[in-house]
Amino acid sequence: MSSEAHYSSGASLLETVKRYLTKTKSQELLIRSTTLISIYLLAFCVRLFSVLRYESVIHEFDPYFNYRSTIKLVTEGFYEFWNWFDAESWHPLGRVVGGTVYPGLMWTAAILYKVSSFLTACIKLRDICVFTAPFFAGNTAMVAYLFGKELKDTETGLVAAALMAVVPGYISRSVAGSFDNEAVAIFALTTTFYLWVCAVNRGTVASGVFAAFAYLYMAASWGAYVFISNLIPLYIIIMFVIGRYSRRIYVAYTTFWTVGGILAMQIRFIGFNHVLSNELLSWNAVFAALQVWELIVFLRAKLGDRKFGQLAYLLALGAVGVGAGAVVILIASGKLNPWTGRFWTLLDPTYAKKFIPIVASVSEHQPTTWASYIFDLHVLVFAAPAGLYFCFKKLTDGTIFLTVFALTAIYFSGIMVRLMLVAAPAFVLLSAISISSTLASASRELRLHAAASEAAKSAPAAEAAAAAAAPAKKRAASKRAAAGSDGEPLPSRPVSNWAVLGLTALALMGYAGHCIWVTSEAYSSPSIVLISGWGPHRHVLDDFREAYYWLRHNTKPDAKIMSWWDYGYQITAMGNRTVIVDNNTWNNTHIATVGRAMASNETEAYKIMRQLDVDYALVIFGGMSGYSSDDINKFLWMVRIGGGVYPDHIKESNYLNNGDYTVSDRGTPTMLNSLMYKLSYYDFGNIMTEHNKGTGYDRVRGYEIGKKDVTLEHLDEAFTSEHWIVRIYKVKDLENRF
Amino acid sequence: MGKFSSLEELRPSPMLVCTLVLVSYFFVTAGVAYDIINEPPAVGATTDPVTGAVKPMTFMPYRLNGQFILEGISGGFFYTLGGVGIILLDLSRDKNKSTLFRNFFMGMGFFLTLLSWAACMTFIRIKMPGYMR
Repeated sequence: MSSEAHYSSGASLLETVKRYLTKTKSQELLIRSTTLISIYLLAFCVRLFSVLRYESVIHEFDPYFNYRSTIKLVTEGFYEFWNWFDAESWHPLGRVVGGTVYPGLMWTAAILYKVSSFLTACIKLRDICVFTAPFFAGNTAMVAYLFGKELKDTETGLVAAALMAVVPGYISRSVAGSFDNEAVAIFALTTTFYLWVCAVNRGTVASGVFAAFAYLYMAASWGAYVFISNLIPLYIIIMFVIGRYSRRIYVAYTTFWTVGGILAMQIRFIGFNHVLSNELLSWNAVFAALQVWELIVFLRAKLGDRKFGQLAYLLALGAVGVGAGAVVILIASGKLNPWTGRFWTLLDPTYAKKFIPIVASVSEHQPTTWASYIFDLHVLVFAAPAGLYFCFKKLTDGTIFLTVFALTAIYFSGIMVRLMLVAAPAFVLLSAISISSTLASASRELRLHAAASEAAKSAPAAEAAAAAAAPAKKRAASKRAAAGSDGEPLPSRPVSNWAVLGLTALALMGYAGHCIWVTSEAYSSPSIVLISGWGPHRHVLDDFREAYYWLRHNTKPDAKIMSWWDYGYQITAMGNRTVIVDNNTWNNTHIATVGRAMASNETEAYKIMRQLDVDYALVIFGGMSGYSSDDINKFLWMVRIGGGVYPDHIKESNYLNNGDYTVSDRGTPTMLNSLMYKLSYYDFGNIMTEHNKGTGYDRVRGYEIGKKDVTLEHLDEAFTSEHWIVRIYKVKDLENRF
Repeated sequence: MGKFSSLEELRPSPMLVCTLVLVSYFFVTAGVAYDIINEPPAVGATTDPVTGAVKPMTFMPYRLNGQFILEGISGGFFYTLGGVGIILLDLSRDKNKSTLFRNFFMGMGFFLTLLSWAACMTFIRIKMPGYMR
């Protein structure tokens, strides 16, 4: 027909597209990829509220330190960061940053920055840092898809990815601007667990090595890597006890222990702790126990005795029990104090309250209430127990791992609000299994019913002919359909299955609506900037940055600033000045000294400030603006921490009137003469803040202050921000005596 | 240990373990750790502004990070009940049970799930008046 040199098919583009689209496999691929791309975009975009409403700025306190470290890494190079000694914080002690920081987040941001510069995209480093968290949230959703696929099937993976993209428990710590460890650590955690389950299912050395590299990323990013190091040995113990131990687990764990352990030890902060510390006791002990067990099995195979297996099992169980009992007795009798305070609180929640006030004072370390669960998880709290049931119904190696992970994560999330973040992936995966199973069984019934009713339509003609030959089931099904579903049980009728599908659709739509609302209202506040109202009544309070930039431009370069530890990172990053204590809280005595200075009267405080070389004192005051997280509300922690180290100088009872802290005229003289009171309320007694109240009405506490004429002897007011939120005072030099 | 011929008989069935797990889920999500550490009262109290009488207040208002004991227990109870509802929906698919059981499980499953969801939404609206506004 055609004499052209090259071959050309007769079909047009439209026909080719139609031909591909009518095949089921390509339809499925198209739906799947479109869904995953939409999920990725959703996960990225839902976290952008604060950037769209205000500007691309770094939030909170800790991210400012991470940002400063990333700047150092990018501008001065890898080895300067690795060996960094920071003299600008914890004056006069300094801080060995290289050895006390988890560098994973900084490396990630620096690599992203270098890659984007290489591709000539030239994004500013601050913007890279702000958008790291949403970028990795999208990646976490993709890993959740893979994890669901590995645990059950592709449908579960898709549901898991969709749920993970918007679950508020994860969004709370990964909005744009929240440049904190958890932004990359949850991605590393989910990836490590996914690769571990792959390693257990395949039992090859290569999959174990992949899991070990994911573990390296987790160990480099967050202190909660010990959760992985204790969960996986716990899983192996449980698999052993329930009798599902296999050679694949042995290969996976041995590879994971050796390669992962060596890689994790490269992080300076971890170092030899990985083999010596008691927080990783189970990690090492299970490895040793596994080798012993395999040795015994090998011997039995050589000896060929059947009973030997049972005896060896009993011996192993007994050895584990005796060992655990010995460790418990040693701990209870005080001879072995294994875990650092932060992790000990997870096992004994009342420990921090009694012994370590600093750990107890952090608001994220408070225990969880019932409302946090529905707020952070919505329908997942209902679907997760059902998911546990589905996991128990069909036990596989992967679902047992998920069950162990979920139970430990849910327990820890009940102890500390912050760990809701670690429980969120567990809730997501369990809910994905239950939702996907419910949908699958409902749609299967519907499809069966549709096929049966189609057969029933042609039944009258074919029944006579096929009655003898047709299998009994199909005849019964078509008869049932023909009979109009009268004697059918409810679950097989189409109306109840459509009801199940409808209920699930409504639940998921409600979930999506709730998550977006929660993200928009509760988790998108850049706490460095306070925004209230919306539209034409929007009010932006930018006092913090105003004060920090005043410090940067109006004080001498080596000025030392004393403030409560919450603000240390922000002052060093934005004000570029040395601070006395900051959020790292590694030295309790130093913090207690600052607390003692804030709680003492002005003369005593002046002596301490001269000792510490302080040039400026900075307090946060909310009485004028109504900002409730100010230093007067945090004062009780200054007294408790200071009193913990200096019990002779600071006694909590001196500050309490009838058991509570008050700055009204009922306040005790010690309270009304303390440095914190004076610095907060200096000049405030002349201000009228509300219409029909007297002068000096504190908007946060809700009453007038006790002492309205505050005089300062050793300090001078240097700066007060626009809404009186940040107040800076200069410490006067010693008097000239001649 | 003497009356078991092999260790396998000691192992509990998966469904028994699942039941224990659901009970522990109830305790954790009811905020028992918060109750132990902060020791809140079982119910709070408000004074009526007009009559001066003291009325009990079940939900600690305006804060997500505080609860009373009974409030926590009711929340945790409805979470677990909702989970049981979804489990019942799946149990109704078992073809080996009688029709009566299957219908009953399906009906109960729908009812419990919807009831738990409605209860939790009501509770959260009482506790946080600004919810979804």
